[in-house]
Amino acid sequence: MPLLDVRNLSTVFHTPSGDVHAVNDVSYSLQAGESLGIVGESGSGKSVGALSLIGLVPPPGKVEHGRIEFQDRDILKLQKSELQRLRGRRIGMVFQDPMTSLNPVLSVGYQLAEALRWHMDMNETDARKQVIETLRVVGIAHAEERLLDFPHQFSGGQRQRIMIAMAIICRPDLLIADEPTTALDVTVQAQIVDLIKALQQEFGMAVIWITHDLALVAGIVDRVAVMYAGSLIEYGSVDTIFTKAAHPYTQCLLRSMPGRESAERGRLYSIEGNPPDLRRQTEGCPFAPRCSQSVELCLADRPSLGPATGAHCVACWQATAQ
Amino acid sequence: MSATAHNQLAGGEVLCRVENLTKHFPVRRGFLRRQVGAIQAIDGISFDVFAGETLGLVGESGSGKSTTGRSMLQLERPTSGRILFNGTDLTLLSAVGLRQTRQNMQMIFQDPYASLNPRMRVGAIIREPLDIHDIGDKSTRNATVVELLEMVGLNGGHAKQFPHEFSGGQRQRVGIARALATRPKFIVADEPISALDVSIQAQIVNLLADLKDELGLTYLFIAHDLSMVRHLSDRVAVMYLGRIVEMGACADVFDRALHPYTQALISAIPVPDPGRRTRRQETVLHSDMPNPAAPPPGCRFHTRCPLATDLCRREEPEYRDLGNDATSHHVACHYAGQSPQTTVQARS
Repeated sequence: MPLLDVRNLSTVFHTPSGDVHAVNDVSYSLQAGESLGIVGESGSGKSVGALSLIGLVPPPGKVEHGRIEFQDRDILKLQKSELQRLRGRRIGMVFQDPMTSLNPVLSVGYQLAEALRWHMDMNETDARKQVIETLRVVGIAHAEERLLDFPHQFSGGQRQRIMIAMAIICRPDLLIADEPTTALDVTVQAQIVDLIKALQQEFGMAVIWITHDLALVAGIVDRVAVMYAGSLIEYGSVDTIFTKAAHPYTQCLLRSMPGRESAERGRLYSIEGNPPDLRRQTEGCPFAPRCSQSVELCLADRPSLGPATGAHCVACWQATAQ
Repeated sequence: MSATAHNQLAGGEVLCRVENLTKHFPVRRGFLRRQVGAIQAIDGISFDVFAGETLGLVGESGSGKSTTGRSMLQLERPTSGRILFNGTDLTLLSAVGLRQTRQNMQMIFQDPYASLNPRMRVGAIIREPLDIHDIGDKSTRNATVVELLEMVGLNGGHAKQFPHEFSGGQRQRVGIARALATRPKFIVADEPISALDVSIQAQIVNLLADLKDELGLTYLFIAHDLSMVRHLSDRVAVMYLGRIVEMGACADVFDRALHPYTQALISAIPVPDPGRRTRRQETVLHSDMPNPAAPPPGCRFHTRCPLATDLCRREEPEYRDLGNDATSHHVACHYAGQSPQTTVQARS
């Protein structure tokens, strides 16, 4: 039984200029303790997909249909209060920008203890102990002296550590990390990646990494899902995606990474054109207008992704024909 | 290695020389806004940019790389030091003289959403430098705008549109067209691709490379994405806390990094290979950069350096050349160039 099972998830933003289909019929599953990388460009629906999992899609967005089963409960059918008990307790989330996701007028210790008082009904003494312990785990030096400090007194990397501490303080079963390193320097990125990896092993959490950086997920996840224009277009083990990518978009992404063939210093491989406007629902494959291998069928009919059961799945007429 | 790199290595012409450049930002406190200290954004750096090369400038945020680029164009007035562009000292120029020289040096900014005026049509944005520098008359200016748009892969019809009608990649193309309007020789590109999507980054990098070949441009390419810097640059300078700690030909710096900081930066690049799950752990940096208002004594990197000794804590390392006859490879580290055994002995 998977920890998380997402079936035919579709999230739509009803805007005055038309419906934006941010997430379009996406299905995947995640076992306990497993890590999944969701890779895509901005506007590919990777973040909205994750927010849909925890009922945090901002208005005018709405989950139109689909089923999200987490620990055998359908998240979409939960009451608001039940959802609140789940968020932060069973599912932790780390957002991209640690400055905007921490409250600037509350001390860090207070913000961390809030989760414990809310979810675990802990008293002040126990909560304090747990906060110090968790800050130590994420690598904040002199934790007990820094409880009363405010977010602006910490550096960017430390703030992201505090965000991670907040997400894991109740020992969740699933951690969703939405571009946790994008706002950080490469050196700090390496520290944060190592930290989340270590925490995953220690607590046996499942982790969903959302990123635009294919190179980043290579060393850290078990499986990769590639999204394009709201659709899941390829899904497989990390080795399969990197060595036997079948979807032309995934192949393009891999080829356009500099240094993959490090000796070569010619032109970078680039995908021409721009991602499509999600307000216009096309009949065919969303990547077809930019795809060098597209045929008539690609423009006329949308290929579907086979049942995501851990095997290598791809939504491409050409790839499945071969 | 490109042809331009060979020219440079054979002793190419210096286009821009930076001498002992220092930029301190005052820190003011209290009711009287008294100066209580200074952020040492750049602290006495010197280097040359050769005509026709791409010089990559890398470092963490706060290392002073953007301030260096902005000072070279005199967008920040340096605290001290000289900037010689084609032999003219820019720091001595008047506003009028500086404006004339600026025709030859332009900037591409990081965020194409913030660097284009949302109320101006794209045509007017690109024409503005021509208006300011009074190049050509009205009809030739408009023709130049169309030419520039086509040069960066857009078309003349785009001139009538507003920035919000464009995607991020297209906006960055507009920013590049604006930078090229006055036919500059030297372009400072400050993180030109970091705000763009992955599939668009390669397009812009290729465009920059094509324009360089076509127009004979010289770039200062500021970035934190080391793999892109490696791809695009002929030479690389690595900055840490307002100083250049290592500088040399791209291949030398990336394949034979001498400074522990450069080694740490390189080992932090994610490797797009699922087989290599472990990183060289000894070079992962564990703490944050010290406060630039109070840089540590001795070697500025010693607080984070895995190899630091008493000597590093006490004495500032000399910025010396460890290259061979053909290429220079500068580094500021007491132990650079020594075999690992000697380094270990020195430590124990």
